[in-house]
Amino acid sequence: MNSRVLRAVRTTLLVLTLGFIAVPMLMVGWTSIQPDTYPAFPPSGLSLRWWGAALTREWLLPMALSAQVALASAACALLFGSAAAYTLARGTGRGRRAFEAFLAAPLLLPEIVISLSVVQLVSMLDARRLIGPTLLVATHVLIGIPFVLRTVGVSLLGINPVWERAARDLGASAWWAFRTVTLPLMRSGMFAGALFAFIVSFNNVELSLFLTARDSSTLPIRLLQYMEYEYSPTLACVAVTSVVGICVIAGVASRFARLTDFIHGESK
Amino acid sequence: MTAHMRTSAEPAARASGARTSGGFGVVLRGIRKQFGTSVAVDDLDLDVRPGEFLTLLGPSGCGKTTTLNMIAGFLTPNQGQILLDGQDVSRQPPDRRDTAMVFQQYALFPHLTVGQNVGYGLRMRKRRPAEIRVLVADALERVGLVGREGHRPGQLSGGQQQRVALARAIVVRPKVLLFDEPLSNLDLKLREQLRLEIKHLQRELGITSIFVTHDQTEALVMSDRIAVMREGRIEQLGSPDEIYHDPANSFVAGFVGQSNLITGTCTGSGPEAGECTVRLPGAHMLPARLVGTARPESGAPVQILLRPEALRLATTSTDPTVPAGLTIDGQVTEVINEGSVATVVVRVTDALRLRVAVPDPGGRGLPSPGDAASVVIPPGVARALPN
Ligand SMILES: Nc1ncnc2c1ncn2[C@@H]1O[C@H](COP(=O)(O)OP(=O)(O)OP(=O)(O)O)[C@@H](O)[C@H]1O
Ligand SMILES: [Mg+2]
Repeated sequence: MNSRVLRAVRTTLLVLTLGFIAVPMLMVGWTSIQPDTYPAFPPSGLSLRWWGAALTREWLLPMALSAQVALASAACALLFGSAAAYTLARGTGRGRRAFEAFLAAPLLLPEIVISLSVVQLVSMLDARRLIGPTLLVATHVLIGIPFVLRTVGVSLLGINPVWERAARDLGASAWWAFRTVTLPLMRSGMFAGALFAFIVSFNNVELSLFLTARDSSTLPIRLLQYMEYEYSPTLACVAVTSVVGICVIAGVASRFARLTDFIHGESK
Repeated sequence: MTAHMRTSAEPAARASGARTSGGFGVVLRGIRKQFGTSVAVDDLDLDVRPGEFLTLLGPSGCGKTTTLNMIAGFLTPNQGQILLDGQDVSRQPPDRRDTAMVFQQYALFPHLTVGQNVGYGLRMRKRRPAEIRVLVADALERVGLVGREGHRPGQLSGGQQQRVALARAIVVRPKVLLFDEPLSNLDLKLREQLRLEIKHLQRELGITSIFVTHDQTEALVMSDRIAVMREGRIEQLGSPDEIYHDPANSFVAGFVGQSNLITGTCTGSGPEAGECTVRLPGAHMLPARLVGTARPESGAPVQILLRPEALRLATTSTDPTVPAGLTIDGQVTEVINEGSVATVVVRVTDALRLRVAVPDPGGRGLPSPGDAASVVIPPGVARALPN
């Protein structure tokens, strides 16, 4: 009896949660395949009329730039974040806590403030020509690192240091022990972190706001600029395209490592 | 766990380069290791003979693991030298030392198969894949895990995992095998079985082995020699027999085996050379053999060791099976029956309680608490220990 009530509560909560997450996405998807500028209820039919404008250079170029920036910043975040996570996991020094908090600090600061201060910095240094992809990558790395730090950190928690020690004992150099024992076990954590870093970069507005060059914007900035003057369901089509793109990337990544599976137990 | 390790030398052993005799020595000279201000290992000298099975035995925190880790190269001593086969390796990293360790928590690589785990050291030594396959199969056969190459460590029981770890260590034929309490995560039955299997394998391969444990039975069963440690120092180094029957001091006597440690008073030299006569609490006079540096003066207090199994219990004073010796009367206060042996505690005075082991107590009619009983101390069993 009791357990049936519990099950009902659990099912209701689950459905509510799923619905809560799904509704905005369904709305975007629906907008992209109906004929009206402002979708009406009840729907007046199906149409692909908005898609013609979406799949043009106007939108595909920002999308490509976003993908490049996201890829580069995810790669850098992966490198720095993994190195930091390893240092934190294996280190014994007193400064560990402070170091870890410091690495996550960019998440605490409003991103728009970071963006602004970066602009002020490059102006001060007379280096405004860096504005564009270079600075975009550099700032996006800041918010990518904490994600990598977390996922790789969790991976490392499951990696017993004695395994590396055993490898050294059997004749592996320090690098080779890391390469053949620790790194393979960190891999799924690294994939998960890199994917998070990619997504937060790809969708980022605030950090990019002052840092995109006039002639080339990232996708979120381009969407924002467009909406300042007009609105069209084309935006929904663009959004759907980028979601599909990210899903494809996540799918490919998960072929190499199950993304949710970055926690290792001794017995695995 | 029905698999048994192969114990006879077979052709594969020769193919894999097993040495039939020899082995390599390990010498520790004046080794000292500090963590901050606390001294874990203090001026330790140890000479491990080629091919021998030497156990470091001691209570928790006495520096056994630290010593072993310095030999393996995981720790660098603050002072002193470690010679492996005559060469000073104290400043070399672990991968440059020809040692192989079996760890307490197995330490198998979880992402590799059993075969890859066992073959790891061989790949580091740049052996050819075909050769590695043969050697891995041979090593697995030796530990009774034929054909398990494709399993993951996580699919094996604790005992099987430790056998894999053992195979992984012996397959590289190291100059020294190091064991850090490899059996302490296993249940008693398995532990008793693996003890013997490790011992047989070690003898067959002739690889010098240093084994760390705080289990005195393990040490007594497995070792050629035992080094009993306390607080970073070696208290006594000797064969299991010496350690058990002639402990160098009361710490060793108390740590290894069951014991009655009694403080008596020396009243002069004994009836034979190397003995002294001791007055026990309750005024009984007992000759005891002097151990090591013990040279108590007349009137000085002296520690007497009496092993419970050396004593006899006589419930009637005319029991014909009881040998001659000093007979002390008392009262039974406790009877602990463990099946194959029972321990009877006899109170003589408040300062003198004697534990007597009664082997095979089943058919003998044990006394009950409160019964009167006599303890017979046969001649030659008492030891006077240095303080
Ligand atoms: N990394 C370390 N840092 C600080 N102190 C340590 C460290 N390793 C060991 N010690 C200390 O050194 C002493 C010896 O430790 P060790 O691990 O060698 O003992 P052990 O004989 O192996 O004990 P056990 O039977 O519990 O394993 C202990 O007092 C321990 O607290
Ligand atoms: Mg230890």
